Amino acid sequence: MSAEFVFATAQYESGDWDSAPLLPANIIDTIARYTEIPVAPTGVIVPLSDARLFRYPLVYLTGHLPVRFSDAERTNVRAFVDRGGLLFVDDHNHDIDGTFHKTATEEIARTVAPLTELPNDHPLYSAFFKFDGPPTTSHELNGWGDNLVHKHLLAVQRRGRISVLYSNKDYSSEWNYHPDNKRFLSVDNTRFAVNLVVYALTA
Amino acid sequence: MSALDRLRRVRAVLIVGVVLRAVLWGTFVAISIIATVAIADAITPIGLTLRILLRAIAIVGGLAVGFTFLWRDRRVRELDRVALWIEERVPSLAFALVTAVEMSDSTFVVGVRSSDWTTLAWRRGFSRLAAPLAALLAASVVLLALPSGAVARAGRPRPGDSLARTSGTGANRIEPLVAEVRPPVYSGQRRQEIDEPRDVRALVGSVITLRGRGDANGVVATTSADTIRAASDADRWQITLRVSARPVAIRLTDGRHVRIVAVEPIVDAPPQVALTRPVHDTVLRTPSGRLPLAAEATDDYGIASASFEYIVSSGEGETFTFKSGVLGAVRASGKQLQLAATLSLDSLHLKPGDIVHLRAVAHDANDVGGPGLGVSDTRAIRIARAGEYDSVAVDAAAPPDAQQDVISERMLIMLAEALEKQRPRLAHDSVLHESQAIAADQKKLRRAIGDVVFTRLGGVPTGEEHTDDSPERAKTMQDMLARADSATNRSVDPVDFEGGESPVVAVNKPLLEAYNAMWDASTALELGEPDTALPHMRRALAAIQQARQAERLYLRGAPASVVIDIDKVRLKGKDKGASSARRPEMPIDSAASLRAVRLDRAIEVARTNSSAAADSLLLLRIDALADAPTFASALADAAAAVRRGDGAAATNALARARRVLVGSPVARDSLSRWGIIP
Amino acid sequence: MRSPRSRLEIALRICAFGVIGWMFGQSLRPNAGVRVEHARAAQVSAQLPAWTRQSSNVALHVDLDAAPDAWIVDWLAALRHSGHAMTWSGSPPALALAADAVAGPFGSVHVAVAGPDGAMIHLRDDAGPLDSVRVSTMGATVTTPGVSGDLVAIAGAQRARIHSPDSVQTRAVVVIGDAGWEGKFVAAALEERGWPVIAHFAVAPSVAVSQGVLLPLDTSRVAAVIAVDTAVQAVASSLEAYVRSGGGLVIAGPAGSSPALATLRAGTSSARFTPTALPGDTIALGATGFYPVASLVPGSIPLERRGPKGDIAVAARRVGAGRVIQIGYDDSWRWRMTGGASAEAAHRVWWSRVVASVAYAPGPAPRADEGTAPVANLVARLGPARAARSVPFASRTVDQKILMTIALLLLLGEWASRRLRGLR
Repeated sequence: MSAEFVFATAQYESGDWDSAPLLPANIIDTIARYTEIPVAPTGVIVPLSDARLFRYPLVYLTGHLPVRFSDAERTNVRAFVDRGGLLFVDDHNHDIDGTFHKTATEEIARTVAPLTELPNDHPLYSAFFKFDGPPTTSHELNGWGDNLVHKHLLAVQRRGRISVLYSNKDYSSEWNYHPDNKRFLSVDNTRFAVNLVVYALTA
Repeated sequence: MSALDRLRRVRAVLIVGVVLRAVLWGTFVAISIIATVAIADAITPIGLTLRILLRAIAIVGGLAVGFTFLWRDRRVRELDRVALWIEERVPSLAFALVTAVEMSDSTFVVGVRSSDWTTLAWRRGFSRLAAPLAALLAASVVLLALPSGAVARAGRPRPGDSLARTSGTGANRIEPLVAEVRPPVYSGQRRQEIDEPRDVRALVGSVITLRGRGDANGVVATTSADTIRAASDADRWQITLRVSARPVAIRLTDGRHVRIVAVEPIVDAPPQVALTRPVHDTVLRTPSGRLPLAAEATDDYGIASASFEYIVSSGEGETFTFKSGVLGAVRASGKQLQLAATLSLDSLHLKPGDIVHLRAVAHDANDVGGPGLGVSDTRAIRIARAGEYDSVAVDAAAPPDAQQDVISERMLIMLAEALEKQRPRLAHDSVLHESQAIAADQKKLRRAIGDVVFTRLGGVPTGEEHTDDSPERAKTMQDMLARADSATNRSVDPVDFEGGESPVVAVNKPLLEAYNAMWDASTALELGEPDTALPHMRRALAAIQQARQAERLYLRGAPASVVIDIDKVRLKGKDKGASSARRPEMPIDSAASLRAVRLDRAIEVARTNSSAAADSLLLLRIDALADAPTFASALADAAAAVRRGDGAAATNALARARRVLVGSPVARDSLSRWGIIP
Repeated sequence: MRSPRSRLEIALRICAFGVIGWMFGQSLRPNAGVRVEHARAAQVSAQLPAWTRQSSNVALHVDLDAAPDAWIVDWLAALRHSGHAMTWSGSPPALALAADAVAGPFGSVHVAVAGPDGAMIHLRDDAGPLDSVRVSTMGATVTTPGVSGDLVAIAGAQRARIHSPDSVQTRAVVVIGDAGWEGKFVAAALEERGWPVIAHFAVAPSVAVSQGVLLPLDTSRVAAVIAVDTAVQAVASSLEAYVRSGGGLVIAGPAGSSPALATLRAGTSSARFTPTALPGDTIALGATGFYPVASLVPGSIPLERRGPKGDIAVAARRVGAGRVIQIGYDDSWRWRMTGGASAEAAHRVWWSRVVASVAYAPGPAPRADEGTAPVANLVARLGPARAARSVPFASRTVDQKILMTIALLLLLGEWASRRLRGLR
């Protein structure tokens, strides 16, 4: 067991948890490019209902389909958050009227607490790179989903710490590409992930 | 009337007398006990339980005495006894009456004035009734002389009758005190009265009315949020408040008299719902049939409505559609409910790959804070995809080349859009240069698509040694373009196999579309016109996505694993981050340390003033109820013990409360060598 | 020829004069100490006023199963000083009590109790019982979260009492390391416990996430420094001076191999020991491995051993006025996250104790009085236990009143006999 950061993707029973299979590698690449944080070269997949969830204090969850936690998943998520873990949830549909958003926010409210807007001056947005708020993705206005630019991320905070971070901005689509394709970008659109990981590792 | 008939009449009169006597004596005893209890209660208050017991004793005692008298005079039913009784009083009969009774022949008794016998019986009756009547009268006078409240407390003891106790009325209007709790209507609970309340537990939304004797002027109730003045009600004062979700301590003051009543809210829990059918998730081969659904719901106060909810998800990849509905909705009452319905799969028009998420939900009848929602576990019913059960299709396939091209095409679109945005600020040569660079990448992608299509058509990939302008390649591309032109109709409709095309061409139609669009795009980019190229590029992207759907090459399962060469990319990013500030986290135990200080103070006060200490502990308990229920429970025991003056029990309870609050000491059976390392 | 009665009368007179002579002789030896007053422990306090009125030739002896209260000892010492021969006997359990405030925001008190081996010690304060512990190897310790009023240790009939110590000022704790789970959760645990934390987590070259002002390291504002890994190099230049002036240092995991700590650590940090078979999913502290501390520096104390070879996992030493503790664990965060329902709180408490064991937290000198070591105080005031003084028959004193009564009875007897004979 080493001290390196391991990117973990949550596997849950009700939906397509693996809808962004290239995202972990992309984020790992990003972390290595900009920081000295020891990071494992591949990510892991961890079932939400499994006790192994607690080995990864930052867990990423996405999908398109309805999110319905089983009792075991709910118990684990609640304990995970209570002990200091951070769950990052991204709506791959980027649709606040959509089924993923409605069901996921309901499950989070039942399991942890209701989500509230995260202020755009939160330390998350200046943890490494400076952002004025959650960076807009190219998918928010692609004609699918709700076709809105979502100005805020949502969060559940515990004693001043983000324990659940929720996004409608479809970072899953934005970041779901092979890291070699970063060369095509004039500005790396995964930089916000560095903020997320640095925040999780230091806050 | 014969002698025997008259004898029977006498017997009846005597029986009535005996019964009346027994009843009177029994009643006297019961009333005497009640009166005694009332007098004793007036001197020193008797608890409710004891008063109930004494009332029962009064009733039982009265019955016992009455029965005793009845038993003692039971022989009055026997005719021969009555005859003997008459014989004793009328010696002239000379036992003729007894003989007549024995012989059942009235003729033995002739010439006797039997009318006197009834008179005798009446006289006897009245005389025997005199004593019990007098006693009863005296007891009744005593009872009537007592205040009605005192009699009611003894005769009809009930919770909340403290105020009926007349003695002890002094300057302190907050003692005695009665609390009336009226729960919200939806709960179906009955009204409750509590004497001398210290700690009232009531459902959120209940109305609590505190009552005492005397004028309302000057009686005030204070909570952390509010001050309420008492209102008058005849010779009583009362204060009313509503139970909220937060525990509250009510401080009642009447001049220098202070009293604390703690209100602990009972929160209405949402219903518990369990989906009993289907029992687990299912995969169905065909989306038809009827699925029975069953669920059970229970609630602490009552269920208002329940139903099944379903969500149907169709699609895959990036494109999904959803529809939802409700089944089997019922309005209910009662604390338990069995819910049943049938889901017709045919009515949902499901397709292979669709998923139905099912759950049962129930709302309770809470109209105070809003209906509580209870939900069951969710079951997923998935319709198997075509070929899912084929062995070939079990393993996950790697994304096709087209998948990677989707990513690349998207990047190219972003580059072209960015160039178009900057175009007004750039020189024409710069725009042309950048545009041609994008065109070069577009060509590479187009060639890759062409290779994929051509390979599937059975041809040989063009390879790097061929340039775009080589005759062979051109011929191949002409062919391909011709086929693409004929096969494609520039439509974005899904792939349709029904047009008579060969499966290969049909499946590759989107790729050919993409190839064609990329060709147009690269032509425009070569000319330095990114704005003209963009629509073609977007068309190519859409076509590639269709190709991915049509081919369904990417299955759910273990995604492709990409291993990053960390050392190679370490710190190769162009941008540099900036140092940032971390915010401190709040202490978890700050409330505990403040409470520990308050607990110490209460312990200090307990040495000299147990009542004040008990009140302090009660206030501390209210403060802790919301977030430290175990500590609050320990404090309840401690406060009760301190108030009772039970030193040993109070010491143990306080020690336990302290342990719960700050934790147990850690002991070692040896002297530590270094500090306090455990 | 005298009659027997006459002889009797003469004998009575001789005896009477003999008794008077005895009284005269006794009076010539005022300090013979021929009488010993005894009392048991429970009776001493009631006897004291009477003994005070005794003449100083009365020896006093007390039979003690427990050292009496300090005021009684004072009184006995005063009687001794006034000339009484004062002795005591018995085997009261030797009990001594010391209490120190634990550094930290929670007001904990560390109590050390010395007592006979195997004795059961009950500890209580004004609020009630605290804990009980059986002594082995001469003493026991109890760390209690809070104390109300005085502390009392009870062993059998013996009590020792001490005032609860004043709380100490809580200073900040510096947590320094690379951005990672261990640093994050150590800082979180200490903040949750109420410690003020100054944090510095390195993320990239010249980029760090910080909280508070890291330098200068000064005992006036910093109680301890926790080096989570080799990132401590950033404060290398000031760390040694800080520790030598009294500051505390916790060297965790790989920080033990940092050159910046070469002169401060308790031992060299060996290659990480990782157990080959990990226990299930519920993990306790150290179960996932540690950096063994080897080649202990002279003066270092091994505090904890682990692993099949009994490697040292925790060691400590003094450096100048400061204290250093070196712990081999580098992933205590796993214990917090995967260690089950109570692990989060246990992790918090453990780290708080680790810091408290080295933190710079000067407070007032501990208050000790005669109640903290009652038997020692007894011996100091009255000397060691001795058997009750045995007085030889010849030098025994008899109460003068008794002797006078005997003499009078003898004379009365002689006079009565003579008068009855008609003589004068």
